[in-house]
Parts: sequence; C-alpha cells; structure tokens
Amino acid sequence: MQGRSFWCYSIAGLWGAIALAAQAHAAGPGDSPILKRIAARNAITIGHREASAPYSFIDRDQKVEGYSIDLCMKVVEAVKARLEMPSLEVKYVPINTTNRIALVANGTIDLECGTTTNTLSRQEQVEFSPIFYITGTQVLVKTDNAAKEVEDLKGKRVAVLQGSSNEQSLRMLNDTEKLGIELVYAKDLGEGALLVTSGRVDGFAADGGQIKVYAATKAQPKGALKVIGRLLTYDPYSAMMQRGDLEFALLVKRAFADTFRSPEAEKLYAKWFAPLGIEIEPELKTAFAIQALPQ
Amino acid sequence: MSDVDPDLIKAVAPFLWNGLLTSFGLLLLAMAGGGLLGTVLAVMRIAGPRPVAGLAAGYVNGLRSVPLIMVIFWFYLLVPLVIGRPIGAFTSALVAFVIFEAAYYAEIIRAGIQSVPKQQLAAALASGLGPLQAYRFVILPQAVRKMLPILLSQSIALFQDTSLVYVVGLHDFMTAVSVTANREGHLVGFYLFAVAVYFALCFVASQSIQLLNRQSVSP
Amino acid sequence: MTYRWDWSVLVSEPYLGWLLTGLGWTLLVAGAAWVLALAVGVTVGVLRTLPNRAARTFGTAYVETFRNVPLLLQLFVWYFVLPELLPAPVGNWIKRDLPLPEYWTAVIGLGLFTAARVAEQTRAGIQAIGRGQAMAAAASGMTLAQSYRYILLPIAARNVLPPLTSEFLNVVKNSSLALTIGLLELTGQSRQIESATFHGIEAFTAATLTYVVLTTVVIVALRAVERLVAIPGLMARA
Repeated sequence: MQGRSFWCYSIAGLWGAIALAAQAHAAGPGDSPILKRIAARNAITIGHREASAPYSFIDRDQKVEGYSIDLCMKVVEAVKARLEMPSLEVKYVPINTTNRIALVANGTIDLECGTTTNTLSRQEQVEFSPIFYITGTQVLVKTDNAAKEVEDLKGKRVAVLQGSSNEQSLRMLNDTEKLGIELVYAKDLGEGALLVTSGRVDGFAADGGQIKVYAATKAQPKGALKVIGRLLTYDPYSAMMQRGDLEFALLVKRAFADTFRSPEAEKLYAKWFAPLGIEIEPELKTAFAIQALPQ
Repeated sequence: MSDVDPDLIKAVAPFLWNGLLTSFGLLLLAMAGGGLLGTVLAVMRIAGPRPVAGLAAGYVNGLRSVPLIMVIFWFYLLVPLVIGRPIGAFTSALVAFVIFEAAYYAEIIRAGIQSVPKQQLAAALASGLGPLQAYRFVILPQAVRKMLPILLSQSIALFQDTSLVYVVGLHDFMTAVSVTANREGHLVGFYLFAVAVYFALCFVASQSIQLLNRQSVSP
Repeated sequence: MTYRWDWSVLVSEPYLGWLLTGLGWTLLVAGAAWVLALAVGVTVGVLRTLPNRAARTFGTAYVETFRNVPLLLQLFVWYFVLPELLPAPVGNWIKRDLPLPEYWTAVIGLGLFTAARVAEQTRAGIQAIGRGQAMAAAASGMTLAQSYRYILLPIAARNVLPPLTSEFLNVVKNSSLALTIGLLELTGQSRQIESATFHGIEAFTAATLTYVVLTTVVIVALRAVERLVAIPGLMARA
C-alpha cells in the first residue's frame, strides 16, 4: 500500500540517518576549547622532557623523540583526522618539573608527553590520559653493595630528586619505620647517579624504570650500578592535558585505546626498551588490555 | 671522571653552538635595554622632582628585592594568564632581563654620579647648561667612566645569569650543556667543558674592556 | 584559565614549616657567605691597588678566576669535582664525614664567587678617589698602610656602599642556587611545596614576598648607614 510504504521508507530513512549520525564521530572542533585552539593556531603544541631517555628526550640531531612521544603522535594523528587538517604543524615545547603543570594549565601546551606520574591530587589541576607506563620507586646502588631492600640502607645516605613522589614516599617510610636514612636532594637523574658513583651517597631512590635505563646505558664501566628493592610506590605515567575539556579527553582516550588494542603499543615499547635489555612487564600488558575499551 | 671523545663533541657541537648564540643574543639586547632604562632611572632618582625620584626608587628597590629566577618565572607563566594567550619564551626572558637588570645598572650609575665632585655640576650649570644637558655632557660621561669596571662586572654577571632561562625552557648554552650531559652520561666532563667556555669568553671580554678603559682613564 | 587556587596551603603544616626551614637556611647561607665574601673581597680589592706587582697579579688572578664562571658551575665543581682531586682520605672525609656538606660547599662557593665582585667594587671605590689623595697622604708623611687606613679606605667605603648593597642582595638571592647541590633553602622549599601540592603559584608568591621583605630590610638598613656616614661635599646632587 502506498501509505504504508511511505511510512516504511521514511522510518527506515530516519533510522538510517540516526545510525549514520551515531556512527560518524563528530568532525571539526565541536565545542572543545583545546581543539578550537589547535585549529586556530594551525598547530598542536607538545610538551616534552629534554633528557629523559627513552621516554621523552632530544636526541643528537636535536629531534624530539621517545616512547611517550611516539604514543602522543597517535593522538596527533587522531587530532589531524578529527579537524581534517592533515598538514597540522607539530610544535615542541621543552618542559621540566617546575613548569609542566603551569604550562598545561595556562594553555601554552596542548599535550604533555613525558614521565609525569598520574596522581589524584594532580587531577585537581590537570586531566590525564590513560596510563601508558607503570613503575614505582626503587633504589640505584653500586653493584658491590650488599643491600637488597631499602631497609638494608638503615642509617645511610640516600639521594632523591627534589620534590619527586619518590622523595615523599621515602620520607614517610623513613619516619614510620625509623630507618634513620639521611636524605640528600639531587637536581636531576644524572646528578643523582653521580652521587652514587662518587660515593657521596649509598643509594639513589627514583622511578624504577628510569634508573634501570640509566644503569643499562650510562653506567661506567658497564654493570657498575644495579637497581634493588621492591616497588615502594605505584607510579603510573600518563600524558597531561588541560582540565575540563571532555571532548579532547575523549579523543585522547580513543587514540590510546586504539593503540593498546592493536599490537602497536607493545611494538613501541619493544622499540625503545628492548635494545636496553628491558622486557615488558606483565602488569603493563594487563594495563594495555584493560584500557583498550571497546568503541 | 670520564673522558669525552672528539666524535661526541663534533656531534653535539651544533646544539651547543645554538645555545651559545641564544645566550649572546639575550645578553646584548638586555645590556642595551637595561643600560638605557637604568640610566634614565638613575638620573630620575638624583635629579628628578620628589614624586619622580620616589617612583624610580620604588622601581629599583622592588626589582632588586626579587631573585631573577622568580621574575622570569612570573613573566612566563602569569602574563599569559593575564593577557589570555601565551607569549614566546625568548620575548618573555628578554623583557624580564631588561626590567631586572635596569634596576642594577641604575644603582651603579647612581653611585657613579654621586662620586663626581659637586663642583662639576655647579660649574656646568654656571656655564649656562640646563640641568639635563649638564647631566648628559658633563656628569654622566664622568660617572660612566668611573663605574666602567663595575658596569662590566654586572654585564658579565648578566651573561652568566642567562643560564637561569632554563625555567622557561629556553635553550641557552648552560641548558644545552646540561641536556647533552644528561643524555650522554658524562656529567663532569661536559660541565668542566662549560666552565672552560664561560671562563674563556668572559675573560677575553673583561680583558678587552679593561684595555679600552686604560686608554680613557681620567686622573 | 584552569588553575585552581588554594592559598591555605601556605599556612597549613607541614608546608609552613618547610618555608620557615627554607628561610632559615637562606639566612644561614647568605650570612656566612657574605662574611666570607667581605673578608676575602676587601683584601683582594686592596691587593689590586697596591704598588706591589706580585700582590696585584695575585688579586687579578683571583678576580678573573672567580668572576668569569657562572655560580651554578662553580657550585657543581666545588661539590662534585674538588673531592675527587684531593688525596683519597681527604676527599672521602669531605664526602662522607663532614657534617652538613651541602651547607659548607654552598657557603664557600657563594662566598668566594661574591668575593671576586666585592674585590672589584673595592678597587673601583679606591680608584675613584683619584691619585691625588694617595699622593697627598704620602707627601704628608703617611706610610702606605696609614694612607689606606685613614684616607683611602674610609672614603672608598662610602663610595662603594651602593654597589655593596647590591652585592649583599645578590648574595641573598644567589643563595637560591644552593638548591642545585641539595640544600633546600627558601626557593628549594617553595619548589618542594609546588611538587607536593601542585599549587606552584601560591608557593612561589610566598617565597617572593619573603625575599622582598628580606631585601627591603637590607636596603633600608644600608641606606641608613649610607646617610649616617656620608661626607658632605663629596656627593653630586642637583
């Protein structure tokens, strides 16, 4: 009948239109302030660390690269697709622990890709991407040191990075278990390790991943340093972005989820860590799987 | 302590050279801007009417109260908050340096002016020069000449202060050395290299200016 | 702007305690370094104006060595390099058994660095007097030491008070570089607060205001001294 087929077709058409709209993710910046800003500047600004190899660093040719950077490039691809700007410029701004939060909060940087630990108190100031690396506080010591855990360093001198989460947790442990450890404050990873090799301190408490990398790549002679101890803290790394922009956060989540779901994530990890002899931990594999949310 | 091999130096040289150029650029522009503003402030303070002198004094005292690292930090992070968009690292560092160093140059020039005997000013005014002309042609040249060693000392300090721009992520020489040293793992070697470079540059600069100074010494 | 403000951070424990500890270290480092800088600096400055050639050369060598290298690097060398260059027992004692090693390293590094600048200002102050005074003193029968003590140094001291004020302020502010060798003075503590609470702007405001108060006290005190000891007729005023 004519009436019924008219209604059939129009309802089918209506459903089709709804399905189409539901399938197609929005294009253009929508009402995301960050995306609008990126479109207006015709560039996305990535914050990076300068010497945190292999996560985020400047190599000898003055190119910015690293594991965190490669993961962020997936987000950049997603932004390019979303804004339909395939020739979007990528700008790099170096950051350090002093200015990284402020530069994200004031909009100088669109996405920070370094070695920032995702904590709840930081989430009052910024938004975080899914977790792409898991580590905790461990201790770097000379290989001939018999200590196996941080408690074996009772009464000794241990270096920490100023203001780091490692410092706060070691201080708490020191107070509660009365370890009598004297804390020495280092300016950066290189100086912390130098304090150990020069004998000024007995150990350097820092992010396990980073000191493992240091021991594998920079110890002179090779094998002079080792990393000991259980993980004293839980330090997951995430990328930072400005708080309050749900659209952009969702775009970032999607980009990471797609990467975690495919073998890309483990491939990128192997690319940067396998040459150093560091295997991917099962916890990280699980984290990838858990965060690979279905579409 | 570890040795640094020559291939490594060749590989990192361009990065370090760029850092050095940035340091120089900041230095020269800050010297020019700060010197000019400082001279104006010094004269305002000594010769200006009370409110003007008070303003200059307030500025000089205020800026001299704060560490440079703070001034740079404030500029880079708060100005975008206020004006609603980020400003470049070089621009913010440069403006911070000019504003900051002007206060120091002002004090040095003020001391120089005050060490010129009162009779010079009296004679200049008596011979028909207006007060501004008296300062420009009689007092300031003598003051600057007397204070040249200290002005030089301050400028060399300014060159070394450029290392503080690391807080805004600007790659001056010191930051470039630090980044390279951390990446390559030869901290002591690279920092000693930086010591040698800074020493060589500043020593040559100070010797040249002393040569100039010797040629124009007043009895 | 998505920065969340929380000024109560500054007056709650433990952060207030941190700030006060930092202030304490700043005062201790600046004070001790300034004493060292004055003692060494005035001596070297006078050495540079003596007729004795060896004295002048030594003075020049000292000033050039310590003035031409940034303080940041000097502190690094004192802290990391010097103990390695000394004989092993001495080096090890410095590294492990010396109490408060970061404090003493900071004081020596900052003090000797500032001494070079004080030396230059002392020299300029003495030379600004002009050779006439020194010649007149010699002509009236004073020895070199007497001419310095009764004529040159008193006038030079007054000449040099404004730049010396600047220098004392520099010491107070340069004490912040002690954080690079692990001594958590005021700036270092404000960065600690920033890392712990992520309210960096509040933390830095507190530190900045404290520096302003500290330096205002110094400036006011030294201006009063300036006025108290001024010799009439020597200063050009319009």
